[in-house]
Amino acid sequence: MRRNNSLSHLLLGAALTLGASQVIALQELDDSSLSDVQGAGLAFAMDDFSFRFAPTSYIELTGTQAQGAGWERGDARYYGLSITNGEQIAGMDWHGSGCGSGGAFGNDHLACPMGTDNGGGIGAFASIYDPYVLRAYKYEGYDYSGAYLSTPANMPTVMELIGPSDTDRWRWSFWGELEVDRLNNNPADGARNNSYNVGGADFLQSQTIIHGKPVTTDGRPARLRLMRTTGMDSALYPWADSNTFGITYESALSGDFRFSVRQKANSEDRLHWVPDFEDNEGMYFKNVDAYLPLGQLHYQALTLDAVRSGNERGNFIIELTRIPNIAAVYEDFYCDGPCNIVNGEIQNPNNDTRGYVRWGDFTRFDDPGSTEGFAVPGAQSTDNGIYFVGGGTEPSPGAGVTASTQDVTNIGISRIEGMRIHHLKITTLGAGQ
Amino acid sequence: MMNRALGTQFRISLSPVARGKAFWAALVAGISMLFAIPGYALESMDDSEMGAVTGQEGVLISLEYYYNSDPSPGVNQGAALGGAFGCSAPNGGTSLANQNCRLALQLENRDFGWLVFKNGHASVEMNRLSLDAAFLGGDPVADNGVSTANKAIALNDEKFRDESGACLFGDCTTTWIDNSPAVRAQYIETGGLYTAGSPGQPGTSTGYNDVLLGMYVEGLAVEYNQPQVGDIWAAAPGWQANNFGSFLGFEIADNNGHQAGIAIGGNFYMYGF
Repeated sequence: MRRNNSLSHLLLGAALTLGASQVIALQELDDSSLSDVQGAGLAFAMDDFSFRFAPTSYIELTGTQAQGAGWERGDARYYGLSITNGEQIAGMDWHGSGCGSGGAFGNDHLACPMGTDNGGGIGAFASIYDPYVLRAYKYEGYDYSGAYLSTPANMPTVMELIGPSDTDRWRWSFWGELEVDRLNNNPADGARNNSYNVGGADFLQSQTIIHGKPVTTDGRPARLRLMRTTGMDSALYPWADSNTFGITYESALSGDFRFSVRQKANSEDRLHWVPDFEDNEGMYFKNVDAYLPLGQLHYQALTLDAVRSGNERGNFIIELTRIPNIAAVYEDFYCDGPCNIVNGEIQNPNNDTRGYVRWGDFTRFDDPGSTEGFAVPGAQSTDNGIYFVGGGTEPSPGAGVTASTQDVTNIGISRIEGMRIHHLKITTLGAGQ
Repeated sequence: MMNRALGTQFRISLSPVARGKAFWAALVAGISMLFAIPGYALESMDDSEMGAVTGQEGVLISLEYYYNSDPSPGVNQGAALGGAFGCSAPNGGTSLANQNCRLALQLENRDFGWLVFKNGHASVEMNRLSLDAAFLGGDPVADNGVSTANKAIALNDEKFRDESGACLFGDCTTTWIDNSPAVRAQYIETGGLYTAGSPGQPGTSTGYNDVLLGMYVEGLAVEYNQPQVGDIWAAAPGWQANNFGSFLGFEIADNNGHQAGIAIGGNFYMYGF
């Protein structure tokens, strides 16, 4: 194949792509030049992508000593974190002993935690036509003090990473292990807490599988922004000039979900041993669609802080800062432009600030005449909504069992709409004197 | 950022590979991406000079970084370095005060204290990452282009335009994108296997060695630069202090070693506009 690009074009292109665009990226941080280059950025595409932790490799979060009577120490491990192909049904599990759906439980893509088609690779994890884009950018908007920033000179620069608006479906999975009361467990278990001895640690093993895309059903991408906050010196933030590192994140996810704990009859079921999970049992969520905006430019951001006084010092705070109590800011938060309120109802809501989580497809619930989407689920439906598949004999009734106990119970579709977060603050409490 | 590291080791090895199309820019591309010295890329554009460069058909890169941890192959690979100048055996108490193996972060306008990572060590190895040049939409073999599946996604041309709609990347068509050069990093999908254990020995994973990642932090806490009036604790700089224990610890490892094994597959393209 010959193309228009000459060798020198390639050389220049490759070098400029790498070298000069870095220079441009740096120049964009200069306020005076930014208006000329808005939108430029680096693009990242990923083709045939897969990522797999070894089945025995983990990320562990450890707590501190139990906080007193009535508390147990818990240690959580997340093993085998994987991102693999989800376009085809074929798959594998961590144990390597095979897995598969019978098609009876609506779990074609949820029986196996990892896809094997295309070597596990996701063809369009990020297409060259819809890539991740990393760029420095300026947006108009109100800051924390209520000032409307709209000129190149005063608009804050944010660094943003914008995800694709469409991708192939992928499987995102891990198996988890919650170990309880580690320090009082059998010391013979050894330094790595192996539980091969009688009286070993108490634990719960589980698997989590998500089959979907990092975009909403209507194509809204995930978006991460990093910035220095602006105007954070109002009465809400009494310490002088408290502008600091801020993050906004728009979380977008759509697809199906399964959480299960049951293991097959021949699974080892030992602490730290890779379990052989049953292929059907579990809690399913079908046609989930979720959008959660955390922070709004330039008056709300995730910030990091610490407890500053009292006996909880030493602890860490993650805070989605309070919406400043300023009318113009509230109007921006609630409405798309000046609020048009009729009979107490906003006619022009700001959809960028409205989060939602839908556990199930509501198309035909909202419009019974529609032929789109999925039907409102019945008591044993497995194509929509939230349902449970019981743990029983599998894959079919065994000796002495006259009927499968893998019953299906669908509890319907559910949704939360209009989630606007005015303020959220999380404080750890494990540290202290 | 403050850190006190006993042993920090950093190594990058490069080796030329004779595969793929002869893209002159590959070595320049790899080096400029790694070291972010755009000036080199611009100085190296003379064709006559480039002709003598080895590695012009792409480079393989391996990278190792060990922070307070043992790089020697074997069961201790990635383990904390001990001894008088090393990390302490974790005990949930005095070990958190270890000064050799801590790292502290401070953010703007949070200068009353530090977020201190206590008694920690880390390591990362990236093995045999292939860097080469590519035409994004070219033939997957001859041009290192993407797969058919990758091109099946509809063009989202808003990504390549500014807010006024002006195109920032050629003419914002798929044809332009197809013909555009890019840097490609590639891992061949190799995966791995799990072998179930026997009593006394939990199962083991083999393979999963594209990236080895080990990380351990015994405790995290905020430590303050000065005590308040009436407090008795030491007035050391926050990044040295250990007055408040820990609210969280974390570890990345394997049941059979100090580093998690990770298999990565795929082609990663970077281009700009």
